[in-house]
Amino acid sequence: MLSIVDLNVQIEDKNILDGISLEVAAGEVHAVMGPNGSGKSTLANVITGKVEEVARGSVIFNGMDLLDLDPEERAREGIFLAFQHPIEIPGVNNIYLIKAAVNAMRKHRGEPELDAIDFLKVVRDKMKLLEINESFLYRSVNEGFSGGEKKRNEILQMMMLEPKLAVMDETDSGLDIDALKIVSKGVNSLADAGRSSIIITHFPRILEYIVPDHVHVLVGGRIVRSGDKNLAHELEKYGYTWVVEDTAAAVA
Amino acid sequence: MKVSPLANYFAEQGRRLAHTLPGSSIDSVAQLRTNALARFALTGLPRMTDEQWRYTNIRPLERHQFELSQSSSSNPNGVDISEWRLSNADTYRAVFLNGWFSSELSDLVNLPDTVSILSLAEILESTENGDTHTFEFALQELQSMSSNAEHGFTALGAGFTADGAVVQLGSGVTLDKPLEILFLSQDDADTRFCNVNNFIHAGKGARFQLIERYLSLGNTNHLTNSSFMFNLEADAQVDHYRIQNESESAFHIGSAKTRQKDSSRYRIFSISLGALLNRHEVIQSLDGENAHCELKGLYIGKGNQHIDNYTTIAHESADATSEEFYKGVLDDRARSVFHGRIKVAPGAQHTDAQQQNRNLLLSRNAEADTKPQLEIYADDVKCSHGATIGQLDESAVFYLRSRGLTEQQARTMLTDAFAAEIVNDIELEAVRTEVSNLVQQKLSSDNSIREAA
Repeated sequence: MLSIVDLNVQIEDKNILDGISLEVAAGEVHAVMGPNGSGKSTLANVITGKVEEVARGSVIFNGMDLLDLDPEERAREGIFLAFQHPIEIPGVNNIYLIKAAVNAMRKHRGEPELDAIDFLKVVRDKMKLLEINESFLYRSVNEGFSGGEKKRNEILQMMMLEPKLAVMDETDSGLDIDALKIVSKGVNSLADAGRSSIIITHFPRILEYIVPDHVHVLVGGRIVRSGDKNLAHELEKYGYTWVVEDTAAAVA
Repeated sequence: MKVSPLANYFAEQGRRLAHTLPGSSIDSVAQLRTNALARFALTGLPRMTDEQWRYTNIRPLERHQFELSQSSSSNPNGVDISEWRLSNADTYRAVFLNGWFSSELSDLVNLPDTVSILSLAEILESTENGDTHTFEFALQELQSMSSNAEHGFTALGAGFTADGAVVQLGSGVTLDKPLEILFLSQDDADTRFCNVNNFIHAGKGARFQLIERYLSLGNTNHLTNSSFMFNLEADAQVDHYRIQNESESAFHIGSAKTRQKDSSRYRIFSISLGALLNRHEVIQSLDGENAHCELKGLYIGKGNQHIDNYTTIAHESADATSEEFYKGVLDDRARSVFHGRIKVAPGAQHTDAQQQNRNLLLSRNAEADTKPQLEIYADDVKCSHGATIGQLDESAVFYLRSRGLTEQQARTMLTDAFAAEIVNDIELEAVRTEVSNLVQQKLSSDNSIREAA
């Protein structure tokens, strides 16, 4: 589904991503872990189109060169980013944005727009799962939302847009354990053989609820180690220093 | 002082036309015009060296020879009013065609006895057998306008006294329907000068809603010089909705000047969309204790439009409150000016005055000038002001694009949202719908997003 080959990103002469290669097959969950400043968010932003400073490499999604597409084209092809810091948009109702987004996708797929009643029914079901109050819909997008509410709102949008590839950028940060469980339930409700996700996180905790098929450790813009879900447990035990030192030792 | 050729031209025109104007055979009316014109001849038209006109250059006006429009039959060109009146609204309606009252296009039947809505021209013409009380009221207001003229356009307005609406509400009256005053400029001539003076007296505890609208029937470059003067007795409440949507070649100078007694409330929405050069002044005098006013404004400029909102709120008594919130969207090479003066007089304790002005620039060549001016001479007061000039939040644009909206749709959605903060506050539904449609039309570069959502 997603094939990243030798991706290099330079911003102001600094190598932020330094030769990343990553294969995500349909139905797989990948976790990308790493310390602050390792390039995790940049990776997410290259996939969704926010970062354009690609010096070398390719990002192919279902046969399309993603780097040739505008952010909205990528979204319409089924890529979704759950933002680390969701943007507040005063004056735009949450429901208005979600409806406009859903209908933009449907139009792209040649499907008729959802009528108001069907739309409300669907969105209410998802909100129930995420334990979100109805008033949420009529508030301005993320304005005055708590950190946890913002993250739930991202997942609500994701559930409504049903992406093929969901990239979650530190969705777990700032969530307490109950909220984390709820958000994970939302993410898992989308899981099927045709959908994939990339979970970007510092902490292994979220991976107990959303179980990854593959775990990658990103340090200094490189994937220094990949493994299965057990790698996350080792990281929890020994920390990132262990991976870095271990890798350095191996290289030496 | 050197007076501009345009000022000389107007002064000469005023003298030439004086004998043709309503009430010219009545000494007091003739004298009023002569005095106002003399004042105008001294002051001339405003210049950028005048502090109150610092950012507004009226020179483009000088390229045109505006002629005061002549009163003629009530509807000479067969205007179909159903096309122009506010839709989906049940209103009392006074229509002025090229600055002159048209009884044919107006609908003032079934007004309560305690309310009178009359044409100023008719009042000035019919003193002998007419209502002397109303005549005296109109004359007194005209004299006050002339002697307190802030600048040349006000003096010009009194000097060219022609027509306008004179509205009087008795004590305790609540008008059952809004009053719509519609000023239409026809497209059968260029360089028309429409001069209207309107006087409104709301008796003790009276309440009403006023809709003041300006429209051009074609893309003509007329000049509108319009003043509204309000007197609110104690406990009176006036909701004033003003929509200026004239041709983008027109010149528009307007004002709303209000005196408020104890516990009265005045609220205005000033929506400026049309005219090449637009100036709207709102001048409030909170004379009574506990008086309250709210000034809200929305202006949208495109092309070469220039929009100037000049506001003054004078807190003259204790315990009065004022809220002021103007927002503007400027595209292309449009320019806006916001001047917000708040004066708190000595002794006006417990004043609460809040002012905000926010501007959104959609183009590199657009410009907004904003100037708060607080003069506070009392010590126990709450006054706040804020002004911003900014662009669309690019991170919000990206956020919306990441949800599948095109860049244009994202920008449209965010710009609509910026304007909606004012529009959504309009209580009167027919006005809110009208303004919302006009704003969207004016901002529309992409309607698809509004249809999809």
